Amino acid sequence: MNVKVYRPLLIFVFLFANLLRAEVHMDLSKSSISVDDTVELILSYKDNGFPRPPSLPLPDGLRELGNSNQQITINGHTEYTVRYILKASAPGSYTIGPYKLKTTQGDQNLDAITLTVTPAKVLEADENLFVTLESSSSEVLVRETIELTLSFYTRINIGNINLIESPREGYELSDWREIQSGTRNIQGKNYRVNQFLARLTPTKTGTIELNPIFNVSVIQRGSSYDALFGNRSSENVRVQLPEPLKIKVNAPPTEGQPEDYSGHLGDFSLNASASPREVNVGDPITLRVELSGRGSLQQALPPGLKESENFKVYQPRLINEEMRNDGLSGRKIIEQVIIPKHAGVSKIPSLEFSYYDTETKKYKTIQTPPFAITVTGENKEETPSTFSSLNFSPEPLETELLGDDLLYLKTQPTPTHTLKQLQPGWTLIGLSGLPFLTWAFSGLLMRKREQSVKDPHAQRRQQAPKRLRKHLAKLDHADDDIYRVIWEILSEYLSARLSLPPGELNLSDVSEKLPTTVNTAQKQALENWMQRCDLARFAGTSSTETQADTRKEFRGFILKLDRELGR
Amino acid sequence: MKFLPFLFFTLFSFTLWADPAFEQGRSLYDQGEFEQALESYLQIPGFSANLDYNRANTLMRLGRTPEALAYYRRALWQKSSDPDIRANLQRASTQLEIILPPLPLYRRMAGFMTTKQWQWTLIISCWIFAGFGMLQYRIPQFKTAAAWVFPLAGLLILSSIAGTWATLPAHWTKEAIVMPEHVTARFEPLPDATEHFSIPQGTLVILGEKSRNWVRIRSGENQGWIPSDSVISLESL
Repeated sequence: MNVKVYRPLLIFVFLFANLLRAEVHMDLSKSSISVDDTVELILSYKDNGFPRPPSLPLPDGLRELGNSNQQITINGHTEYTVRYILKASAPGSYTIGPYKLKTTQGDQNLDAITLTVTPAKVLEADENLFVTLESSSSEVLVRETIELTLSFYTRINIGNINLIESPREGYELSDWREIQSGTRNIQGKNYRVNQFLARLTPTKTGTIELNPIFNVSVIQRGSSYDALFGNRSSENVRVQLPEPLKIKVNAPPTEGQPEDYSGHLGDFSLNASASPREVNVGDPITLRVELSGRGSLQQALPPGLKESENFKVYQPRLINEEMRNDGLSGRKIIEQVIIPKHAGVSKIPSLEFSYYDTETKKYKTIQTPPFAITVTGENKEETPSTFSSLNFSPEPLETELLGDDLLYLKTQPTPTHTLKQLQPGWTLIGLSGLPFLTWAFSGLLMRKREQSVKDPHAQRRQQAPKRLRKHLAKLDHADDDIYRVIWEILSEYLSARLSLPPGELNLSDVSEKLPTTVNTAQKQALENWMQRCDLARFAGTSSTETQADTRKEFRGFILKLDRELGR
Repeated sequence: MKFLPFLFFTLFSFTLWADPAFEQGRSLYDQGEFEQALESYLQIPGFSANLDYNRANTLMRLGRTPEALAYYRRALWQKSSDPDIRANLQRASTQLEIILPPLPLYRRMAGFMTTKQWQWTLIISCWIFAGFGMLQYRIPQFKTAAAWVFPLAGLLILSSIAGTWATLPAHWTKEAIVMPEHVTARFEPLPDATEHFSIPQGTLVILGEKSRNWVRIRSGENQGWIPSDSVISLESL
């Protein structure tokens, strides 16, 4: 077999086998630690991809503080090492694993390992390491902030100092801040001193017992070789005070306490401004209030105006907060929009803020001056306010700034319009002009009616056609003396129509009064009818058949005459 | 006289009117779906004070303050007596660090009623005036009351005409709000023309003549030309 031919093939098989090979290993840096101490869990594996550190489920009592990742590539394959920092919070025996690790080469099994956690070693105070805790005052008032000073005196090497958190009941404590470190000689011995400062604010009366426990890393002494190369081991121990520090917390005196006192202590000043001062009803005024000073400012807010019959108020908005490093002094500024509800409101009432002055041991109430304003315009109907003012709770520590936001949506829609619809058009002109046209028309009718009442001739003239038709109906029932009835009709009609005296109708008066609208033939016919009536008085009536013709003829004549007279 | 209750009912029964999109917009707004809420409000045709106010609130939530300012301004023109509109308008203008000029005095005086309400008041006052004139023919006692009814009704008509005029949209259709952070107004409608003055975002300007994609604006006592797309007019909302 020619080796030269198979060499590339062998190299390929070797590399492929290497790629398929995956080794996994898990171990602890220490098999036993004490509570609050840390241990490294080291996980090593080979993989061809770019895996992320796997997440390992841990038993209760152990928690992961973080991890670091390292990778080394040798001969074409990569080995990953992940170091998990674990911390134990309770003593006991912990079983870590077993795990199944998924790699690109398949699942790899990891055997379980055991970690023993012993109770924390408590280091009794001795001449090499002791702690002191001092407060700026042994008696304080509720919400009065005092300073605590913690000092570590050591003659041994220590590393990190960590406070073990414990429940805080009845007080608030700030973070410890290192303020000083150096050496001090006590009774002829040199100590390294590390001083820390924190601020304590009691929230209720009673006695506070402070016994903080610290986790201190004590560095073990090693050989000079180890020290040279930084290979120094350390041990975590708990350090605490020989006896707790007691602080008595009192309530502020009730004597002389203002009604609006809400628990603030210190020394404050209050300033305010308002603009604009001349407004219409419903216009907003911006009220700006500044509270500055030293004391429980962290929990305090400048006072705002409350809802009243004169003002609608919006929630105040904290626009500026400047606190100094001591956490006690500074200033806070709020802005509040207030709206006068009616004309004649002449001032914005003064705002008050009460506090207990810890220096003079007396209550003080500071206030802003009232601001004169001019409110003009029409009064508006008062609507129920839905905008809450700041609720200045008597418990200032629980006071929360309500913040500032948009006023809510309108819940009731109003009819929408287009631009064209809002322009005054013919509809508006028509609907506005129609009543005046109606008025003018009815006025004309009324005037005509009034005129007819005043002129009886005119009234008779107007009613003549109507009466004529009424009388013509009588003509149908006149059996014997038909020309007498015709004469009566003619007489009444013509006297009314031509304004002649009733009962004295003669041909000459009628001919004189007849208007030119009546043609000659019709005049002649009228004369004939009048003569026939005269003759009939003496000659008597005709037969029944003749009477019917006469009625018909007269009806035709008189209606035609009426039409011609009505022109 | 039977028509009067009907007219008053028509005039003051706006609350009975409702568009489903209005309620839908509010529901979406409550759920924090401001984009969809805005869409709902914008799909309602036309405008009204309350609708523009809600549109503006939604735009504020979306961080589109200059547009919101334009809607608030138009809502204020329609209902200048509404304290909510004024409060949120002030908040929007404070956010943009600008001061909007107040509405003219005549509009503020007529602000307790909308344009339509003023127009209906004019119609009703005309009917009262003429109706009283007609009734005095039939009821003699009305003739004695005419001495004070006619002057009062006449005054009402004159006030209604003034209110109708004061609330005409023509007063605000030329107003516009500057959209970009800063706009430079030039002496001529040309990109390389001499710069005249600069106006910040949210400033209220009055639109004048147009030339291609430029518009002449008036801001205070200054006049100049700016690109048309750098302002949003109240008319085009």
